[in-house]
Amino acid sequence: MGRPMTDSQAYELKSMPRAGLQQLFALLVAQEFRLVGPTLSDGAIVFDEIATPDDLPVGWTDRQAPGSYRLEKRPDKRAFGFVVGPHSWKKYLFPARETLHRATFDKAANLWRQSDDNAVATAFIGVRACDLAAIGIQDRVFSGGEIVDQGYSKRRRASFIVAVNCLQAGDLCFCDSMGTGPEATAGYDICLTEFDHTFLLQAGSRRGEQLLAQLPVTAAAAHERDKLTAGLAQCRGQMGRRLDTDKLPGLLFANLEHSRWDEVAQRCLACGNCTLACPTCFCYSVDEVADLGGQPAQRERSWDSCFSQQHSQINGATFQPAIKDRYRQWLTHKLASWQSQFGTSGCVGCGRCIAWCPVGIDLTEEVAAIRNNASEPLSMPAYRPAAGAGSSGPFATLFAAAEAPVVAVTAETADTATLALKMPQAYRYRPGQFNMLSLPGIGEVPISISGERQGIVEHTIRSVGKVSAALSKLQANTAVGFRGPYGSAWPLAQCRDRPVSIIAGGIGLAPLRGVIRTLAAQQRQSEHPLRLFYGARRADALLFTRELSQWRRSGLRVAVAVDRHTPGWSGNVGTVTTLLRRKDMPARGLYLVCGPEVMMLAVVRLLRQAQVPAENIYLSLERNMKCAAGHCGRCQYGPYFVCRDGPVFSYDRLQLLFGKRGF
Amino acid sequence: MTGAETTIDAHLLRQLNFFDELDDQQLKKIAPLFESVSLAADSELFSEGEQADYLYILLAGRVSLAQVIPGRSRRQTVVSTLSRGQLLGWSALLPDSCWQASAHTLKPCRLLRVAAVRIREVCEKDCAIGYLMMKKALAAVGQRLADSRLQQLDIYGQAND
Repeated sequence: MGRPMTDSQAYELKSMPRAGLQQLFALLVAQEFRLVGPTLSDGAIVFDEIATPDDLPVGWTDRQAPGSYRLEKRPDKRAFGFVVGPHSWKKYLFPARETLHRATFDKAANLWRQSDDNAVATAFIGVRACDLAAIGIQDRVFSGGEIVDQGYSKRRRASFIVAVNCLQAGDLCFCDSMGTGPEATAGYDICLTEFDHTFLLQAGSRRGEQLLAQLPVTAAAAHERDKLTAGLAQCRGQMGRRLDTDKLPGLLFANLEHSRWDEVAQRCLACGNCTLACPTCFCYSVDEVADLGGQPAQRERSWDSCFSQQHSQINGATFQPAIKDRYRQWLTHKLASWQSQFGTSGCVGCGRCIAWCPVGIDLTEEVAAIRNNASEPLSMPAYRPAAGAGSSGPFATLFAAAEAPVVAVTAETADTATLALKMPQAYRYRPGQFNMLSLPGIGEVPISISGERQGIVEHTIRSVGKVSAALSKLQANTAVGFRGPYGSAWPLAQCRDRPVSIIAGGIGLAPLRGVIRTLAAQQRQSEHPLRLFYGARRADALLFTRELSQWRRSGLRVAVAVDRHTPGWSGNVGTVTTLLRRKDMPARGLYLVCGPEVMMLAVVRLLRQAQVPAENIYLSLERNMKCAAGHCGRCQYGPYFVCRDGPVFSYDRLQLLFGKRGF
Repeated sequence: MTGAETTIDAHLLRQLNFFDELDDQQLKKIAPLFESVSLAADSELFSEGEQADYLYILLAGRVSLAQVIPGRSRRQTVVSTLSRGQLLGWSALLPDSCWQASAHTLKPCRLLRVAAVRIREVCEKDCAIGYLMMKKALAAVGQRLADSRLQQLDIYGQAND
């Protein structure tokens, strides 16, 4: 799986005596770069700040096996004669813990500011091809979409990359299978190849070329080029692992119930080491940090792992309760979903997850086992690059929240209230979308928008956790932080001239209210009366009761059912499906569904039985969200991010997973 | 029982989903057994524990099914409601059975009914009709069971409720 050789590239291959490395370091320091690179610490080769080539692990190599990593002396004095250690460069570009902003509010800009304190100009020394690919993958995650992580982008722009070609592979290496190495082909400023007495140097950027010109280099000789080619070929031959990527995404999703998942779950400790060691894993958590000393509240971001319980948790629900669910989430994301999400595999073949797994789980072995006795691959959703990627629209900076005044608070039920917020002039939303609402020191949550009138945007909030409880207790004339709108909308344009049925359960009526209002206003012109089927726990849990009567008067067919009868209720007792069974469900009709997932599942089954095509059914999903931009990884639903690709999905897109346990 | 009780013909049964698998001859055979009844709102159709004497199909209106929970409340607890087109009183299809719940009209109702003994007799004698009737009844009972389960799951509640 060889990549184009270096001589086809724009910059010429040079040769430099070993002593030139010290000069390279000095030149970088003179340009005010902090140098970070491999160094020996606590029995491993880790990344840390370095000053001279003597800080490099000269004369050391690593020997790796599943669950094992040992340093050994080399017979020579090579400084890069090892493969990869526990650290990856993400510890600098995407630090394990980072303050996103402090709750000091920029009044002039009406913005919470995101801190960029740690964008220190840094030269990364000794970046392997697999790690270059990993950086490229995180670039796509954090700055390749519509919404850009400013902190990450600044640190990336402030970095200078000195890559190293691998002439030696480890027992856990499989970059050749993944097409990421061993040769560094792009994404560096300077690339080194180390031999006993010389380095070969290749510039990969203009600033790399300029730096190279100040070094004691000569044009590389033919025998040096040959040595490089031979070294790379030898390295490919040495790779201790192999991963067959042929149709892998569809294969994994076609085999979600393969017995191997149960088998690996017996061994996996759900410790999350693989996600910490992985150079591409990007899931994070965001927490408000406040102390009793009156310090400004801070919003902190920290690495999270899909092996942690809280990763998939929202109030009242954990979507991945079992270790099997979490390992399967990790592997299917890394090797399959990633393709649909970012157009690349999430694995670069570095082997860190195998070495640093305390029980030595080897993903190449797991994939091979699943391939054995597997069902035919499914076809997976294609990667859709974001339109206007990297644009800097008014809301394109992640976590930049504006402040919105609370103009009214309406109690809907005992635990649910509607907050009406005055939005900026430019604010536009489409029914189905949501906002991130926040209170400094308490937190931020996604809240679906339940309607809009003359710039006043309503959010109906059920008090289920710390933040929603605080939000639903707000009074008029206070303010909340908001950012948005985010996510997909209900297909309003498709609702014209066809029978539309809206099926809502509990708080699920809130994200549908905007659609109902719009369609109710068009009722008189429509030959198809809009039908609303609404279920709730009890009569006192029904939302928008006055509006329900108004809708009835304006010609909507409204059917309501409650699970539990209470005195005075003379309406239906039963579920939404009971209501649906009494009516015709025309196949060409459009069905917009939002409620508890188990309710949506029952509704979908009923509609599918009535021959309604999957593409005529739309569902709104709910998952844990921290960023709303497809960066934090919390709201993944197989190949989708609920925040970015949803929350509204047509059922044909969800079919491959909907109703499956553990997603 | 209030309201005019009229016998009905096969044409009326043809319009109901419950009979859509019966052919014309089969319909003609059972139609004379049925009669139409009307009830005012807030009247009792049958009472929990009593002998199941009629099988009903609700043509219009709404009926509640309620059960007594001794010591819980003076009132009966409504467990579900039935509307137009739904089968009511499936217990009557089984010999010697009694009502599982009490049925009460919530709105003025119009119903078709057939005496339990008569419909069971037809079903026993004409197994083809019997199978189709039982199949439809089983489907209705199955749906009611599925819906009851969903109701019982308390899907709108929170984990800590």
